Amino acid sequence: MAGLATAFGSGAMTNPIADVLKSEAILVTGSNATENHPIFANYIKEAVLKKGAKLIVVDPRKIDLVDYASIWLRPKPGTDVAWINGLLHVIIKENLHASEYIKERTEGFEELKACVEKYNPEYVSEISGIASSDLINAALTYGKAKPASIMYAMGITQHITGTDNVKSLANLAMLCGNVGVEGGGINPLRGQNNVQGACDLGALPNVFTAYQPVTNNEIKQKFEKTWGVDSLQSTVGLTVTEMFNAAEEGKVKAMYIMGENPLLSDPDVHHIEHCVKSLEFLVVQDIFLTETAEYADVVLPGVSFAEKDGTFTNSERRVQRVRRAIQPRGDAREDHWIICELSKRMGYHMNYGSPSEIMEEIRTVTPSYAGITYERIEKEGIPWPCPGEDHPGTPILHLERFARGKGLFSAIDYKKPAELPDKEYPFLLTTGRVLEHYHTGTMTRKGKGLNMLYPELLAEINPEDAVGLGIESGDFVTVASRRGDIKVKTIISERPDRGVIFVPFHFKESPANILTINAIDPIAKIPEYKVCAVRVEKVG
Amino acid sequence: MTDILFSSWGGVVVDNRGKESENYEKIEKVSLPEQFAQDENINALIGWYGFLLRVQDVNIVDMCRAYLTAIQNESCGKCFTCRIGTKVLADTLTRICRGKGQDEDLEVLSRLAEVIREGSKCNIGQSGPISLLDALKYFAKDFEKAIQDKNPIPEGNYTYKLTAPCMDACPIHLDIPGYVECIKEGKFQESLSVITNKLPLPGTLGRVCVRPCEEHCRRTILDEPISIKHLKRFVADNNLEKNKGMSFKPTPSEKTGKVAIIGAGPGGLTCAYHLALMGHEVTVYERHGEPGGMAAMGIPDYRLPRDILGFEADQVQKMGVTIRYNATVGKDVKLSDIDKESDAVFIAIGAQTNTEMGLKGEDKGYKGFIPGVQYLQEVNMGTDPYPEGKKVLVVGGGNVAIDCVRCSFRIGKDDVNLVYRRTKNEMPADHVEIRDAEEEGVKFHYLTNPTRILTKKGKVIGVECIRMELGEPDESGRRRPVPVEGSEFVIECDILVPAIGQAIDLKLLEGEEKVETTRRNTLAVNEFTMQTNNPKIFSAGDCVTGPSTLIRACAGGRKAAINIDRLINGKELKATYEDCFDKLFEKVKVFDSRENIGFLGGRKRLHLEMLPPDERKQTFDEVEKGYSQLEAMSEADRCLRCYRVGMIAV
Amino acid sequence: MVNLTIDGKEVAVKEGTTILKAARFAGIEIPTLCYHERLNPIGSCRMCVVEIEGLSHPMTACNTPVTEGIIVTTDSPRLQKMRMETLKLLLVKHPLDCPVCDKGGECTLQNLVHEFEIEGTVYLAEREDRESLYPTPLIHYWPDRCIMCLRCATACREIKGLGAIDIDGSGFNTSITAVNRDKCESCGECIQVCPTGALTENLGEYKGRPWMVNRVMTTCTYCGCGCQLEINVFNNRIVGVTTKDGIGVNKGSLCVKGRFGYEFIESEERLSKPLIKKDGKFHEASWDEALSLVAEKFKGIKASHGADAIAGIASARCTNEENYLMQKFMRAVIGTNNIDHCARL
Repeated sequence: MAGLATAFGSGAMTNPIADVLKSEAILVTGSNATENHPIFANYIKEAVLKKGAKLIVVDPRKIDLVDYASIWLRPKPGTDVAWINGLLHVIIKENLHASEYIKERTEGFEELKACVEKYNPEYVSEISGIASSDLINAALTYGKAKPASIMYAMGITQHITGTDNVKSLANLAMLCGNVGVEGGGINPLRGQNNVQGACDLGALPNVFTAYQPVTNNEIKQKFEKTWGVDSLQSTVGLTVTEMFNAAEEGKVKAMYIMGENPLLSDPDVHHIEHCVKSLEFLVVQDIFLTETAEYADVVLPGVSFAEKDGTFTNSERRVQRVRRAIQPRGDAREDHWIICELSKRMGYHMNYGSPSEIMEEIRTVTPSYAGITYERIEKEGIPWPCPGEDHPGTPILHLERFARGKGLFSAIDYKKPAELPDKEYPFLLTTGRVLEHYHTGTMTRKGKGLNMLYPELLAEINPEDAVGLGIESGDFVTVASRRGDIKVKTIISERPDRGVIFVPFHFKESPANILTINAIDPIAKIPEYKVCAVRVEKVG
Repeated sequence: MTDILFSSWGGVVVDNRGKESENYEKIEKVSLPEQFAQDENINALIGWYGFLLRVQDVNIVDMCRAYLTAIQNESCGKCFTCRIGTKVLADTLTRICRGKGQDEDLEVLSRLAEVIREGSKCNIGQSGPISLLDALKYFAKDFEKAIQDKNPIPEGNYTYKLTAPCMDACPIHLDIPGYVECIKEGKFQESLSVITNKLPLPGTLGRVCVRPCEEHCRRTILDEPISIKHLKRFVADNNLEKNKGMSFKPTPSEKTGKVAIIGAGPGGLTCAYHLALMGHEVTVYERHGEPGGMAAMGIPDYRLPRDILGFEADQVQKMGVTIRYNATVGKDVKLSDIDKESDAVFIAIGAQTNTEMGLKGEDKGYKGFIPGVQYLQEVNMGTDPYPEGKKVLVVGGGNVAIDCVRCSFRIGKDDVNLVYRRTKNEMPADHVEIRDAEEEGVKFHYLTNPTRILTKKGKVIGVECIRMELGEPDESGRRRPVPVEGSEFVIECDILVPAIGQAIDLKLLEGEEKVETTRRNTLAVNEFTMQTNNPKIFSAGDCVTGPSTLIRACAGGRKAAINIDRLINGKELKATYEDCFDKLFEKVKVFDSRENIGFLGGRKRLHLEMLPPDERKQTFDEVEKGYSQLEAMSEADRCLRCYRVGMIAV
Repeated sequence: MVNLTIDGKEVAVKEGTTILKAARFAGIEIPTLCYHERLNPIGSCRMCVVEIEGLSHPMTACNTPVTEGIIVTTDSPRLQKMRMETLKLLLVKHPLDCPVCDKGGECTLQNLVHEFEIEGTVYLAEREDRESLYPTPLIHYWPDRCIMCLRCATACREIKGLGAIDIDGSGFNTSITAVNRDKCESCGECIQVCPTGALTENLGEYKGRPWMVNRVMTTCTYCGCGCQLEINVFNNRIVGVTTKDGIGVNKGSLCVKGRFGYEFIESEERLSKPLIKKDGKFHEASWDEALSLVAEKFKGIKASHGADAIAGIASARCTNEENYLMQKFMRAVIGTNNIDHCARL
């Protein structure tokens, strides 16, 4: 999100998803939307099938959306900056960029132009493996469409150059005047139900709610006053990855983990395991005894979404109600109750009669949520920013002006991924999700329904590689990286390119994150899940 | 005189029962041929507008049973009334015929038949019960008797075919309602398969077909015909854009052989395609360096871009068909040699030469005198046939003449004229094309005929013409043009392009064993089998029909393929039951432009976006832009799905 | 704008509007069975027939665009008879098994048959029972109950863009079948749009009748789409997930996880008591015990190593309110900015 924040001043989906129905062209990259955001994918398909929009898919995997695409580019993983710069190059050369828009609403264009000069289609083709003619075709399609939108997800951000990738996409959107317009925009699809909300509400080490910096004194004072405390910390805290490293170093002694399972979800699991073991005290609050909870000193039983009231903020920034449908199971308690009780025992009284009262407090300190009340969102959610109770919410960002004033172009050069295949580890591993399962499988692997459809991990391997490895669908292989190895069942599929193996990360019995590299994007601190080098061998 | 006992066809009842045959009242609405096929008499017809009985001994109750059973078989199941209603009708009639009818059945039959007729989604359900309703009205006694007698009625001998006005009008009988419905439902690949089931050139025909189907579109009665041609183009283009190639359903024959095809035009390619689907080894001899025949050489790129035809010919080649280019049979290869190497030969050489105007000096080779087909061919090859010439005069009123004038602007001619001896109303060229040419600035000289070529130093400098006026109609039904004496005048020009017609060049037959020809200098073939007097040699397309349409050539190519396959498999070559029905329907007429449909009209067709005249006349870029997906789906939604079943008792 | 008269009411609507929409706009209800707001008109049910003055043939309102000056009648003895007969025809195949049908009580066919006072099966036809294959084990297809309105196949094609199911066969013997089995995503869009009980859910052994369950509208717990769904509760147990047409970003659609992924909530493996680890083993504890222990530990570590020796991870799966409290707890109570969550994963 740091990339969009740099370019526009705000890091969220600029447009509601339904806007793609007004797009003439849609570029989807690094998002296997049909499996990870099935409902958003419905809109993309509807835009193509019913509204006649042109779909451009840029993805190393032959994902299902490719079937609906007019153009499919298959870059080598980790070459995103290169092909995006290539698109910029062609669009500028063909004079398809929005000169007026660029002049009035943006800055940094000349630097960008100079930077992408060398990214001619042939050069880009060398780096990315995309045929020049395809690249030109995609550039013309995106460049000529008015408006055109961009969708991306973790396939773009989970790289060491994740922030660069996002900034590059922002460049592309601004170049054609597609930001701040209906049917346009650049839209990161959030993978989890409330990532947007967790960020908005300040579950980040550098900001309070609504991205108000902890380093800003005025803001700090506002929170001190509301919360009734003398002095809040004014230095930026640790990110998840840094916390674990600090634990290993003995700097962090205790951790309080609510509803997360880093032992399956974080890169280089062996390393995380070691870090967690180094802790003096670990509290895990969850609905199941997760892999992480196994290491806890105290486990606190929380409740599922069906047993609590509150709000989630979806990927479109829409704040929507969560309502209790059933009573909590057993002695489990809502997470907010647990925090309040713990807080009381720590000598700080949090008194809320209900989640709506918490929202009332949130509104007073969170400008973008100031107008959001439970009453107003009873029937339909409201997209923030919603600065007042008479404000209808903001479906499209940056309409008149960018949040930061002028949109900022960033001149970015292509950098190689942290670890590329070599002689010893000749395959490229990329991880992700499948339709039927979610994240670490904690929820989806519990019932019979979803497991009936997708009972066990299947690693996808290209048919040509399968011949090379002497395997057939259903055979087991060992996948080994410099960090560890797992045994997985394979499925032969056209989806991955040659030399690439795709492993879903939902399965604790073969945790893909034993293999992944703990290399992170220096700004966004997002790990490079999408590229690392592995060796694949047939078992037995 | 008629031999028809009873007719309710078209709602007009003629009841000759009980009359002496010489007193039979005439049937105005329809004529029923005596025979269906050789030795097969037609005793009755039951169909979409009613029924006709020729002989007494056809049991009307049984015929209704057979017909409603056929309707139920053909019911697509996509609307409640037809899907279940015709089943209840068919089952009730079957029960009556088995001698198990009940008194209340008749009331149920007429009540349901009425609801199905009025309530069904398409013409199957709308037309299916009409005959039953007529029968219940005029043959009530027969039904009552069948119920009371409780005797099983012996089943008669019936045969039927599904058709539709558009399908019937199409020479290759494409399942037009079928592929249009797929478009409406967004199933574009399926739609393409319906087309390629018969025709390997959807993108080509989707651009240049003369579309007899649209003239027989029932929607015309309400507002305007649906744009069948543009819809065909849409599915072809959609497939090309998605780059999926075409999918074919091979239907391998028991025995396969080697077939040679002469000419890679639409007829040759279609024949090759079907033979390849059946697993035969096909070699095509083509005298030009590219496929397409007249479709490539005679149709300019602004109407039919070459890559479209190229892609479709490629698809045929991908199925294993070999095309030998620059191989002129009769010159580079001998027909008899080909014949020796093959199990069958298909001649589809088209009509590649010009008809002469009959003017003095036509054969002198004057500079600037360029026959139409040659003119188009050179332009299509990318050359200007006579760069010095700037003022063009084309003679003729057909599509070739129009192509010649429209091309002329595009190769930089300044002044383009067309002379035609009749008026615009009689012009055989496509009216859309004439309008486009007018928009582009072609000067039309109607009621004008050339009489003398004016030359200077062996170069054309003008044409002397004479004014014409329209006299009595000739055998084609058009009024005959008659010269106005003394009205001669001169039109100056430096290029004269006669395009009054095409002729067939049968040089390849020279020195070969006799293959029969007609006095029109076309090849003589059996109309059903396309076989010439030489059992191994088949022919179709312009070289059989005389200059005609692409789709007719394709239809001939398909027919030839089917019969070549029969020949190779040692089966008898004869008219199929489909051929017989085609013949029958020609008489019975599937389309009636005076029909009262009773639907709401007022939904005009969607026209294609076109390049503006000033822009398009400069280039060979395609003039018409295809439908977008939404446009195609909305246009397809106008289709009334006029499927109907024709059944005869034999 | 196009002007027309419907049942004596003058209406002006945009060009291209169907008669059905124009009528609804004018507050006139025309009965429908196959029509669905999100789908292109299907035109299979023939319930929406209307008469237009001057035309001999009734037209279906759902797929006939208005034209200037038409005078439409939506109700007449002739139309009533057509609708009535159509419904009677449906009962040739559709069994009157409403008492044992999951959809009993919220079935459009049931409502219409009741409204038209049809007392039972009138017409008969010989049936051939065919086996029909549905592409997912999570959904049960009942060919007899299926009225072939084609909403399911249309939705699969138009909303999901998949075309996994389609009509198969001809005439009376048509059924819905898997034409592209591999494409099925088990999303249940077909169930959602089915107006009868022809498609039912295969999960769960016990179901509440539609009128007995309480439906609680909430937001889905899986991806970031934020779909609005209704949890169906009977006796404090979840018996299914449904959606409301047109509601939320999902407009009534869900994916396989949203519709069928609710079993975890009632999993036996759910934690029901706080646990404290002693000697490497977890022991159940009371809330007071557990929370006091945590508070003690945190206080101790803060005192000896400083607030920054404690770190908290909030959750993208918890509510906004809980995330707010979590960061407030870490910042105001512990006194550190060491708070993060897994946004990056």
